[in-house]
Amino acid sequence: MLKATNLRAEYGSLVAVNDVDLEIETGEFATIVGPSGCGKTTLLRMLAGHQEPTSGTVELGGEDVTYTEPQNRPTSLVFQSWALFPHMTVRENIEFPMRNKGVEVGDRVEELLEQVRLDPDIHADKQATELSGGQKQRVALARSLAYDPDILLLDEPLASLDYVLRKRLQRELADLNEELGMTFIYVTHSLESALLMSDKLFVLQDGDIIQTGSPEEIYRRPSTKFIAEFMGDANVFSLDDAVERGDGYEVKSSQFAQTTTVPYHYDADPEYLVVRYDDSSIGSELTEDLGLEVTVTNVLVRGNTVLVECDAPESDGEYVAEIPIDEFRDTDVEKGDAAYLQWDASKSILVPE
Amino acid sequence: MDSLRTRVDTVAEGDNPLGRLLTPPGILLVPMSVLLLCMFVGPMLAIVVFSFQTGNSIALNPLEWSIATYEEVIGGMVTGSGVYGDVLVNTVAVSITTTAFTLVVSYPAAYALAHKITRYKLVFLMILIIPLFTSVNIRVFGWALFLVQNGVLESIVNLFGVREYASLMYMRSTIILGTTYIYLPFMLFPIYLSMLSIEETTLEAAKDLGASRTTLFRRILLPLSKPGIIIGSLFVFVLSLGANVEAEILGGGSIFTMASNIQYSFGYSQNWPLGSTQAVALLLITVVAGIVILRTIDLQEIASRGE
Repeated sequence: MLKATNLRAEYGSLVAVNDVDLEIETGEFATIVGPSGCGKTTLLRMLAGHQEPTSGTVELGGEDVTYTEPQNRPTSLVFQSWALFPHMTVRENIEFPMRNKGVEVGDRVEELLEQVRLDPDIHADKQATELSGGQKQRVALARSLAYDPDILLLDEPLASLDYVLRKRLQRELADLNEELGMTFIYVTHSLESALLMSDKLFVLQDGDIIQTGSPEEIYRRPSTKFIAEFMGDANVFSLDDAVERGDGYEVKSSQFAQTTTVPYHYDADPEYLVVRYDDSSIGSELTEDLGLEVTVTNVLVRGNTVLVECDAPESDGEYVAEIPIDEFRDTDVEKGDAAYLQWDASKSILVPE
Repeated sequence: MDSLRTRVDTVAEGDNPLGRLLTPPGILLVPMSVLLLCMFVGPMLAIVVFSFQTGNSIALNPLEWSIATYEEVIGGMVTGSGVYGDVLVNTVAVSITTTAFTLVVSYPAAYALAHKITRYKLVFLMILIIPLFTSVNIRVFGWALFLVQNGVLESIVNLFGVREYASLMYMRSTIILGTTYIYLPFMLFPIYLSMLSIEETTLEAAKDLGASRTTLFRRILLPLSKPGIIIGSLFVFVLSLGANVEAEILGGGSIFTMASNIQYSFGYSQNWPLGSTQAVALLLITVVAGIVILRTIDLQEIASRGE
């Protein structure tokens, strides 16, 4: 188990990581997600030992490793740039950590290359610089696994790969995590990677962890407007008034055509109502619990669904409904028409600022 | 029109090498080639021609050719005896020691500047570069004033009550002091640049994968900074072979190197064939040394890859 307590990193007067606490169970695939500059890489580097925290502690399996050098930590970091040794072959790169640990090499290089789905006969004796991006990524992963760490740390190693390859490697990483029972800590700014692979998510904003939970919890119940927006594909409405009614709140906004009661889970007063694109629908009549009048400005086809982009009269925001293509054809709504953007009250997510 | 232009181009290019030289990419090299031909190849040929003239002349006599100067110079160097034996030993000793000293001093500094030091780095680099704006003569005379009898060092030493000051001038080690100081930047900068090209993450990855400090140095830092070491050593070694100001001023006529002896032959003794022969010999030594430096390090690299 990895446990960080009050971990803090300052660069001069800038606080990059602000007294963060986190706990990650053995074998878990944990993802630290946040926008660029939120301190996630600094946090990871402190866990790997490449950066000393200003204050706070890191414990691994009950042992304090806050100031242990990276050489002596049972962690291995897969760098964003992969950091293969350019003067060595693939084999030499992978043997490097084994030789440092004094482990018998034997057939391990071949095994590891197969584990990351590279053909040893073709790739083992290539120079590291001769590989493509995806292959370098796989070799970097194999090299870190060769170190046999308790915890594998990954610093957005997929960020520079193309979409298809990234998808495939994401799935492979998740499989590998299950297969090896090794703890993986992944750092990313991409929501998509975070949702797909992780058991547990930490959302980081300006050096603070603002929400922890499973991907589904965070997707369905974001605790702030920032998270709701960061998780993406959501319409955000500012509320004029919200009155507590039993289990939920009765929400009022001059934009909405009616008022409804919506469930709510947090202490702070709700100030925004969030609804995901794919929970929204569009129609010439108002049939759902909540809705507002809009003008359709654009219709974009995205595979099986269409994105209907709308402008609301008293607002400068743009709202989107993502609906199945057939359903949209049935509505007879076209670009330029006035229509209702609407959704089921239970799909509404209330969040504080 | 287009087809006409193509035809003209093909004719101009043709298969004729001169024609190819005078069309766009080649023609860009012409001024440089002419310059090199006049200023490097020409004088070089003149030196070679003069080296086969009879001794003690400064005029070219097309009827008299001789290898007497070669017998004298090469003979002396091979047997290690006489003036030329001493001169060769001095020259090689100065060059090797200078290369070794500058390497030992520069390597850690280059590593620190490229990877560790961020504050005052520019200041430090400027301190290293600024002396290069000053003439070598001035800097070497500075050292002479510092070391000479009744000089700065003696006054300082006297202040501490030492009365017997043995001059530190006119020794082989004085010349080495001068060359080490003058050629230090030529070792430091190539190594610094090759250190800069090593990614910080490469070093971090090595540590992350359990490399000890010695492993990090031997298997990562050394092989990756090797190009800088080769280029720096080549620079310093070759420049030290030809270092004549240092030898003349700090050696002061009691220690001769090949470079200062060549100048002596051309100038003071007016024996151009003898000077030319030594110049040819120095050139050959330089070329051989260059090849050896490049080769040895290449072989080492292959050896370390095989382990």
